Amino acid sequence: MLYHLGFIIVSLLIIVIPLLISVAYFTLVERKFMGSMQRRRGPNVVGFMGLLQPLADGLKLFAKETILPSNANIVLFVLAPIITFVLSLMGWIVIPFGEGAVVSDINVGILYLFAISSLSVYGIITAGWSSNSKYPFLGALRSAAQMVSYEVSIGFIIVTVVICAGSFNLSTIVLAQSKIWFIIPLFPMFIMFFISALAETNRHPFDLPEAEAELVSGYNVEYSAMGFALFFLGEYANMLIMSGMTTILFLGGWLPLFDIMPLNLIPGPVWFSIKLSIFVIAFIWARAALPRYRYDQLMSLGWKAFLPLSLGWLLFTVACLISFNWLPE
Amino acid sequence: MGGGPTTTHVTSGDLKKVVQDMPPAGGYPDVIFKKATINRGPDGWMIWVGSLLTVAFGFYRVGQCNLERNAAKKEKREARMAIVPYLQAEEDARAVAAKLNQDADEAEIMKGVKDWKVGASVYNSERFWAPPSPVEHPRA
Repeated sequence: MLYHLGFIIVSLLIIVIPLLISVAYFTLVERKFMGSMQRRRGPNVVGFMGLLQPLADGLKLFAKETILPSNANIVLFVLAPIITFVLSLMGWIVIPFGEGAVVSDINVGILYLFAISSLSVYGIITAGWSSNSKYPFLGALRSAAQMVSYEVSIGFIIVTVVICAGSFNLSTIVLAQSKIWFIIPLFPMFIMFFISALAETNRHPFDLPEAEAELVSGYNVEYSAMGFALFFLGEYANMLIMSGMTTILFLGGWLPLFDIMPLNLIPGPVWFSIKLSIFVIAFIWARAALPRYRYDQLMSLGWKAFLPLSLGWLLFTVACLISFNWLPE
Repeated sequence: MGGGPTTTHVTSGDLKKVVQDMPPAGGYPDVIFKKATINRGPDGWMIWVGSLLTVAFGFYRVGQCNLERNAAKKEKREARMAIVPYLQAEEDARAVAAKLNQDADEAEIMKGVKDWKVGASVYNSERFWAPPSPVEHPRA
């Protein structure tokens, strides 16, 4: 019993600690990358090439005083960042980093992941409502509508992948791509999934919930110190998990680019990290390159373009697989 | 061409004249807008055909992979079905040995109790007897 409990705790720590470190350095990569895109240097003062900047930022937020607004609903106000942060960590237990390198290889892994990513809207709504202030409330309303809209097309895209792989288990979905990655037959779905992932994580060009120019900072205006840090960590961990999901669903997870001699010597988790990093860079690139959408454009893209297109491609996929008797058992 | 502001000397007589920019004699030349569009990349139909072929190839490979996986699953299922009688025979032998051991232990433990029937069922009916299953006691 004690051994079992110890095993669970150690395996969770093996996931959580590198995850938090990668989230911290994700912020540094983002600032450096955007700096180079905007022809400036980015952080370069704290430590060698600014390498200690994330630690300094974290320490600053940790040392600051937590301010609780006098009109806020204190319990929910404190709970909201915790919900966001915990939910962003929970998804990682089903992510396979390599063959068998997964904390819990459950049969409904993709459904679990979808459910967890949908629940994260509650953290934002709770924060917006409990702050008892107009900007956070408007930000939370926008966020709720946005996340619900894009989940619909994400759902159809996931169903298409599940039909091709014949399983909800993430490891099986990866192994079903051993002949070809799903990005080739489902290319339009891949593009839609990535754009929906941007919307689902409230990232540019869909960062309307925290549009600085209109809502100051959106749902987290009233937060400071650790509350703000938890939102920040949760947001970036969500981006990493969406990148991981894109890798697993479309880029063959831990599988090598080609199953030939020098490439298949590289360990699976390294392949997984390389592919995940490509999407992380794409998230930053989108932020540096694209202007913010207007709210009606965001809604019409979700409901009038992605929803019919994903539904259509789902039907096309099913028709193809049934016509040639290619459905998995 | 560029340069600073030009000075015009206006006399009172000139004010009565209408001053207006006019096209050069013979009019402006035609704007040849087609020349300005640069033809980059392949034609539209090439992109469509290329995409269709790529997607078709992708679905073909997915189909082939699924057929292989289905065959592997079928082989595994049939191998299990073939081995079931042997596993059942092993399990029956284990169940009989376990029952004999159990009866011997029971006789030893209950030897002081009068009218005790060794091996008697604690249930009134034997309708709900479950056969020994190789799944419940799998052999490593």
